[in-house]
Amino acid sequence: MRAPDETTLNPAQLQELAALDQVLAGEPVEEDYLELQALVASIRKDAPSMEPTFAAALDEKVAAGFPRRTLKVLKRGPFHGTRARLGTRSANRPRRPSLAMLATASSVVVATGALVVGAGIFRNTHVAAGTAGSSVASATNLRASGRPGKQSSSVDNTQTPGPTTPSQPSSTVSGGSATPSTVTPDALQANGVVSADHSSPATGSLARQVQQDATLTLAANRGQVQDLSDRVVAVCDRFAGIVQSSNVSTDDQGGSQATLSLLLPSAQLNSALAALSHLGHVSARTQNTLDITNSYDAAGGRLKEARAQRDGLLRQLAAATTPNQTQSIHDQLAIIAGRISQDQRAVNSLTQKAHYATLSVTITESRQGASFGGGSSVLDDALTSALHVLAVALSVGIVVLAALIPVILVVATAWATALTLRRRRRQQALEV
Amino acid sequence: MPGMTITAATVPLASGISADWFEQLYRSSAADLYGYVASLLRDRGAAEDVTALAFERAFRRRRLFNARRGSPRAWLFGIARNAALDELRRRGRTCALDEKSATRGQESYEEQERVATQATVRVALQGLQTKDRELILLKFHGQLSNAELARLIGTTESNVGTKLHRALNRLREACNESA
Repeated sequence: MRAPDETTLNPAQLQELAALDQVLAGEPVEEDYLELQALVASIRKDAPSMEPTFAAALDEKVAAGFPRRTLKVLKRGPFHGTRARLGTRSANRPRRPSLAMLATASSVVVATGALVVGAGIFRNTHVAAGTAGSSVASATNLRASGRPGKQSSSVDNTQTPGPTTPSQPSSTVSGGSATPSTVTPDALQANGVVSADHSSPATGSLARQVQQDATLTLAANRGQVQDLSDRVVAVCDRFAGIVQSSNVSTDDQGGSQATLSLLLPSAQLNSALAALSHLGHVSARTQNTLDITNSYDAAGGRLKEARAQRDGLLRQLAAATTPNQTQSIHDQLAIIAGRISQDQRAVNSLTQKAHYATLSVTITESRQGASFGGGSSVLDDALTSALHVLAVALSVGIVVLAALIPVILVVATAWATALTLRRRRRQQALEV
Repeated sequence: MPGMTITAATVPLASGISADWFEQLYRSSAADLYGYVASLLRDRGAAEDVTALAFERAFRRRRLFNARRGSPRAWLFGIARNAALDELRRRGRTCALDEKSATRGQESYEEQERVATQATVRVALQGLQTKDRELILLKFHGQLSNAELARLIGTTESNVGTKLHRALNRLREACNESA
């Protein structure tokens, strides 16, 4: 495509242009172009020449390699520039922030915001991947402490303020910051968080009572189900848990499956889950919490009331004067004793629920023949970890790219626009 | 070394100019560069500023020079042209050049005629449109090939040839009118 001014020059014109180049190169030209030669000479001779002071100063600067303070020297020095005399803007003055710079700055802000938002999305995303179907939520920070025999369990109230709602299921929790080693029942008791009298929770328990349960499905290599079950039991023992039931079954095709029901101190649940997850490939994992504070308080209140009634009856019994009165009180005491026993069982049951988490572990044989756990578990774990790291890196890369591509486009567009504008402005300067 | 022309072929590196070569480039082109800038701006002070700025920019960017994109001289004139046009744009107007004073009497007839011709050409040149004048000045002072001019202006070589030829014709016409 031809430029607007482009026309085909005829041979004579081309010859003249060639002659012009010869003239400029100092070469002799034909007689026809002597006029052109004179024109060139006239214009070149008529051109202003540098003032000696300016030439000397410039020589000096070139020889010195234009030290950085040159700009100031030029302004004040021997160059009596337009800016100095006319007070107009200096050519050497630092430029105003250009469009490209502003666009770049705004793009960086946008990218940062996008990354922050993206990170937030990642943090709050409910991840249910097949490899580790763990649910992630940071809404609840459980701090349930457990020690066999002690009936105490609590949730950090600073994390879950607000009125109590009956049997309030809270969000699924995994990998929380359980700190059983630092928050003991004694410490909680000393701080008044947990009532010392565990058998009588009284009305309005200060601590939240939370029931936890979880399920974990592990995939084992063919023939490794029993071995993996044993290792699960070992982990349970390590965390002072109890194996409630254990069942290993084999179907007619030779496939095995094991189901274990474990009771683990609530405070140890996360650690135990983490340890169990390292035993093999986790194909599914769930974790649930249930607030049983109201039930616990209600049972405790009933127990306290029954005991108070019993105490009153005992006082009446001591004051009874007739056999009929005594018999009547004895009858009532028997009824009350039965109620106390029932309420005590309820309190104990709830305490145990709060204190011990139920973990159901299912071990299935991998049908793909992939090597999970077992003898080469270290290598497999390493490969799995490497793949996981790669996947995470890829995800991060995609997020970064998603944020950067618009930024790059904006910057490139701004850059191209700025260049075009600058070129046009320069061309406009020639339109005068 | 005045008079020496540094071309892309004479620069040892495909890209980048050493400080020594830069100094040679400066020696060979400073006068022409100043002549071009001063003729374009028609203001000695501004021309000094722009010339100094152009050399400084060229010095600072000398490592970015790419010999495949033209000669060092064309590269230098490109920098000077941009600086001069920026200056023109900033000023929004051109100042009258503090003209060389007309010759005063004592010269020979030939000299007087030469001076008169020169004055005619000067007037004719100043009467041209800035675009034409700039192209002629760039060609005459920069001694650039049409290909280099085309790259510098951002058009095709044949387009530059056309424009240049038209500008020369207009200059001739203006000279005839002035005469």
